[in-house]
Amino acid sequence: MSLEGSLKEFGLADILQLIYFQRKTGVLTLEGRMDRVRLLFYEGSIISAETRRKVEANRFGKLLLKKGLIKEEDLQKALEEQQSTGEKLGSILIKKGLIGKEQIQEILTTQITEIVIQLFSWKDGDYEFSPQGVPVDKEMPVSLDTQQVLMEGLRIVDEWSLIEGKLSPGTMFEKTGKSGAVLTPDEEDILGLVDGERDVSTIIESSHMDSFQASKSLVSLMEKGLIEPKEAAPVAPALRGTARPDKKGIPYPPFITPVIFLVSLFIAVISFPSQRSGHADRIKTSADIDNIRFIIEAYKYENSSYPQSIAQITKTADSWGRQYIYKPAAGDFVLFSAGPDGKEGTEDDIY
Amino acid sequence: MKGYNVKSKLTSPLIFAFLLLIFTLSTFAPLSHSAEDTYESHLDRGLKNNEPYSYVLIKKANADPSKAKSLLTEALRHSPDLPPAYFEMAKISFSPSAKGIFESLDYAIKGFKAYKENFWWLMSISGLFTASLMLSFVVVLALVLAVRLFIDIPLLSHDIKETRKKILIAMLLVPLSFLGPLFFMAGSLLLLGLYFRGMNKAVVYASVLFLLVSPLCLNIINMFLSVPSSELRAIVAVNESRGNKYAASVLKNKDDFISLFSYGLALKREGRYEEAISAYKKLLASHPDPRAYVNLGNSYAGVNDLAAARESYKKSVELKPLASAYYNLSQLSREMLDFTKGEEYFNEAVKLNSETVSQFSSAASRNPNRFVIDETLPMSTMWEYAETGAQRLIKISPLNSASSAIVSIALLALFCVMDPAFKQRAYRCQRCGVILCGKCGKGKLWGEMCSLCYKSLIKLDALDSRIRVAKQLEVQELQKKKRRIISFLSFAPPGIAHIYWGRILSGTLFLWLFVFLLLLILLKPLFSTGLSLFSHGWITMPSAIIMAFLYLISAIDARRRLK
Repeated sequence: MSLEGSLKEFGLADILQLIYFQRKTGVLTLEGRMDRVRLLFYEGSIISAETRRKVEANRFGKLLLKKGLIKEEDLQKALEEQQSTGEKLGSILIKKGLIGKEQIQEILTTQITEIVIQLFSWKDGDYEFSPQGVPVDKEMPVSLDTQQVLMEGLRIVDEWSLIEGKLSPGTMFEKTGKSGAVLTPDEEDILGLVDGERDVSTIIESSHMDSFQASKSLVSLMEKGLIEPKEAAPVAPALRGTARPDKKGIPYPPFITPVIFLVSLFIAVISFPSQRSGHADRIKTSADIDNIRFIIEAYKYENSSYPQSIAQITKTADSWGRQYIYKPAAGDFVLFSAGPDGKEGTEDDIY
Repeated sequence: MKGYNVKSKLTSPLIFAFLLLIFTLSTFAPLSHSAEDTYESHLDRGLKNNEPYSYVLIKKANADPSKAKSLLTEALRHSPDLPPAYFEMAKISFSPSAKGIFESLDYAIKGFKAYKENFWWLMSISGLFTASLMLSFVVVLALVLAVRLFIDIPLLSHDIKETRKKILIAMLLVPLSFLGPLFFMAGSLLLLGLYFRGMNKAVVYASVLFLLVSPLCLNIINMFLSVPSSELRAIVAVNESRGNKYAASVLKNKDDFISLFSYGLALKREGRYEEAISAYKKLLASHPDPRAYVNLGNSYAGVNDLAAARESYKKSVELKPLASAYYNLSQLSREMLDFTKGEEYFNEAVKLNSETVSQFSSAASRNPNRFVIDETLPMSTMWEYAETGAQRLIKISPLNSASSAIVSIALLALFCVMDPAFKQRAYRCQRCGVILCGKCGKGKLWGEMCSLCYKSLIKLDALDSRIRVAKQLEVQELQKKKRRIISFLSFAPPGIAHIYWGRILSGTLFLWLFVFLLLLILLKPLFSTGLSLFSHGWITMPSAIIMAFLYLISAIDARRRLK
């Protein structure tokens, strides 16, 4: 089952989002007025993009040259080889050691991003998504986070809205006569079309560019001061955020609630009665004595006599840091702690 | 030469066998000899429990598995109510056959039964379980608070921002904290509990109920902790027939019934009959008790004053017919060659308690400690003594129990009033986590979403696709973060992840069980008076297994949530 329809009803952003959120694998085909683009998705990520209209600047070889990664003649040789063997250009270049795998992946990523981004300027067209298995390039896996591409696309849409604010379809431009600025090929093309009679839509129509590129060039020409509108272009009023009116009353700092909790916690910890009672000391000592007595008895059965000194059994001290007092006798022994006062034979001794 | 050779060939194995025999005998002999001696001399002193010796035997059994069975049987003879001896036995008799499993199970059950016979073991295991149960609940409440504070405080803040009056309720926490950490925890949970949904509120109610019973719990824990006093140890030693000398020295100057009774018994068994007689006379002057009369009679029998002994037994029977009194009378009558009377009394004794009588007559001998039966105090009496001796070792609040109960009831009432009274309560958008309330959210939208999420999800046409997508991405980012936290928390102790994502009740239960088992293992040394060498070793393994199981289930549950 495939998902299809018109871009007018369901925007590209929505489609990409749907595929991304549902982690779909398949092919999205977009048929526009001037182009046909196929996007391959693997579990929601874009892994490849093909376009029928190859923009010269976005060709793989051109991108390599532009980034200064290879020389023109190397590219030519590789292209010839590609024609004869039918191998992929990237593989040939790697084989020749002209370029690294990471660089190719980077170029491919740029290429895909460019293709997807130019899709955002499409105003109409049809789409079709068919979930199916897609070939994953094992040698050179490329995977673009659809979400990031989407964000990039949205950024451009934002720019587009800026352009739209500066241009209205009926505005006519004329040259100011200034010169000297460095122009991109696009801008030069557009500058050639400005004659003081054509309006924006006519210029876009007559150019071989899509409306976004044409409009962008117009705006940048305007900013460089090479052209100016014949009449003042209407500027979209700036959106002003409507601030909520402040409530009257006692000022309320937002941190007050956590502070209440922290103060309370502090108080609770402080007020925790932590003093150790004398009883606890006595009971701990008493329990220790019981354990040591047991060990001494066990020692006797193993060695057929009571130990000579307490040190053979344990090094534990009583609650007041003193050694237990141990007195072996013929068939018996005495074990006790001198108690809090540290004196033998007083009332507070613990047996 | 040849003949000599043959001879040597014949003799060398013989000599070898002989040496082997001597060697084996020499290893066995001292043990069996001393064991018999120990057992008999113990009985002569009126003792039937010899735990240190059993400990040595168990240690030997562990070191030498081939002789383990006979050593452990011996250990059980010397201390028939020592649980670890049964557990060790269960361990070695286990084999993967039906018989092995049955036998092992049988010993394990006997081990648990032995707990009932042995005061210290029962006391310490009850103490361990009670303390772990209560302390684990406190720990769990603290953990629930620690996790929920971050999530629910912003909601409370929001509500206070909207309605300033609510700060007064939050301020109540400060004076409450002066009453100690437990009150702080319950108070904080009450505040946060306003934002708990449905069954999760049970945690809040449970915490306040716990606060209500906390003075009682504390008393119980204090009792368990203050148990190992010298007096109680001495009393238990005598009445459970473990030792007399210690009791005879420790209980010298005590004059309450239980101490004096035990003191007299210790003296009698040590052969200090005159002192025993005066101790019992002193006791009987204030507390006429049939058991004390039996023991007085036994002391008279010790000094061969048979007439006085018989008088004493008869007084005992007048107060209450005891099997021991009749048995002792029959022994006495036979001694005085009155066999018909002896037979008559013996039948009376058997009628009252045939089991004890047969036990004692099997061990009977001319020794005064084995000739007549002593009466001992039952375990319930020792528990009573432990309760009266409880000290206030741990204090958690400056309040006394009555006022602390009043405060907790007041808190519970406050919560019951406040909970329905809080009409407009802040909540989070289920998707993007933005805090909303009735005032600023203009009524709850379907599924507790903020208007932006609602529009971006349900009313697709109401928003520009750009804003919609941006919102969706924001939500996606937030969900991702939440998933990351949950997946991280799934490695935390079980239940923490549940508490984080809002299943507070089930998370608390998970966590409580887990912490309880953990504390069982950790607190073991604290509750092992006189048992430090054995401790309740059997607890560790099952606890650890259940803990691992809990951890696994909780982690799987948390991870399932991530999908």
